[in-house]
Amino acid sequence: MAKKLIREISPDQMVEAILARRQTLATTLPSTLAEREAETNRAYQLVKDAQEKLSALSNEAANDERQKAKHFVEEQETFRRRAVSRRSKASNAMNNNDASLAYWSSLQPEELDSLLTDAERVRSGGPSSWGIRQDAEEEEEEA
Amino acid sequence: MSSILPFDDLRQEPTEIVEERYNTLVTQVEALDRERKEAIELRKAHSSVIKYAVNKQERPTLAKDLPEAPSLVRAMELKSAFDALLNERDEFVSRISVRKDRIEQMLDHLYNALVLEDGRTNVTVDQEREMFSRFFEAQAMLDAYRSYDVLLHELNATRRMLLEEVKSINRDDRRWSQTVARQLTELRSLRREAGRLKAFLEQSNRTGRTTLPDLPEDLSTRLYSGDSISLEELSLMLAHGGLSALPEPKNVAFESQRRRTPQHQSRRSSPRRGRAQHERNGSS
Repeated sequence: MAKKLIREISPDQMVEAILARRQTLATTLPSTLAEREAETNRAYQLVKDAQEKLSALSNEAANDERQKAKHFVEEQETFRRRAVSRRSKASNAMNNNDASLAYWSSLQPEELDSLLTDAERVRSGGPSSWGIRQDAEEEEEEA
Repeated sequence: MSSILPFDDLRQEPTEIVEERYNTLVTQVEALDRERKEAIELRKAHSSVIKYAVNKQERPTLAKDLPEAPSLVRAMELKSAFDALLNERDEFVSRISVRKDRIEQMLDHLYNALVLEDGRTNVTVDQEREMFSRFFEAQAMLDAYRSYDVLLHELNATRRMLLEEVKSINRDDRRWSQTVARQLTELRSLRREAGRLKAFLEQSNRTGRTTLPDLPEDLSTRLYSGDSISLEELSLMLAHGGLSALPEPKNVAFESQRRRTPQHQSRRSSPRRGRAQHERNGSS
């Protein structure tokens, strides 16, 4: 978006833009989550298969062969952890998206005003949040 | 010899004229002295205002009865305006505390995170609320920078005008220094002349130059011929300047100028006796 438009966007327009983005995400996130679920299930299965293969090896089996089987189990385990993490991330994103949609779609004017308190303070000639923080730090240093 | 005598030219003039010249000179000296003092005060004021304008002095030191100087008044007005704008600028910087380019970057970043589809998907509602609030604060800060740009423009313009005024005052200051130096030279010359006239008048008063009666015409003749003169005549002669003031008399045979014919006497080798002795005793 052009810088000029960014500078001039109003709070209501911004809320609409956020909702639009969240709604788009709401259409794509379920499929992403389903993919992640399937991936995780597959990862669990792969770990299980690898562990069974390792247990099936007789005590007389060559040391080298046992090492290879162990290494394969570790690889599958790493993949599983990553898949679980990705599924969790997709699940969180889905939850956040739902919460965000709920919040922004039911935003009350008073709630919007409270979000714009800092902007209003700056517009009426007051200090910015950064200015306030800097003053506080300076006072702390002086004290 | 007469050229180095201090009162030669004055002796030929009546005392009243000399007195009038003296009074005129005294008036001129007083007027010039006043002008010079004013010029010195003005020069000091110029110097003080320059120091004030370039922040070497907290406030200018100006005499109360300083004559009107528009350039000084203008420079002080400009300096006050410049200081006010400078304070305004510092207050703004302290109030906003973030550079303009940094705010623009922040605005872009927040917009991307909040609105663009390729932004982060795992943003929580609380983070979104925080970013929303920051975005509009940054927008307000950027709007505030518009008035700041106007302020900076005004500040620079005032600074330029002030520097020009300082240059002009500096030029005036040099001119006033030259004026003061010239006045001093002129004043010295006038004072010297006034002092000379005053000394002459005082001397004239002491010797009673104005009431001195003329010397009797025959005084010179009588004096040079060896006649007696009275005490009053002697006093008058001294008041007129002594013997040198008397004109040389004509056709007077001076005793002192008479030439004595040398008398050649034959040396006596023997004592006087008889008639010769008698004649000598009788004559003495």
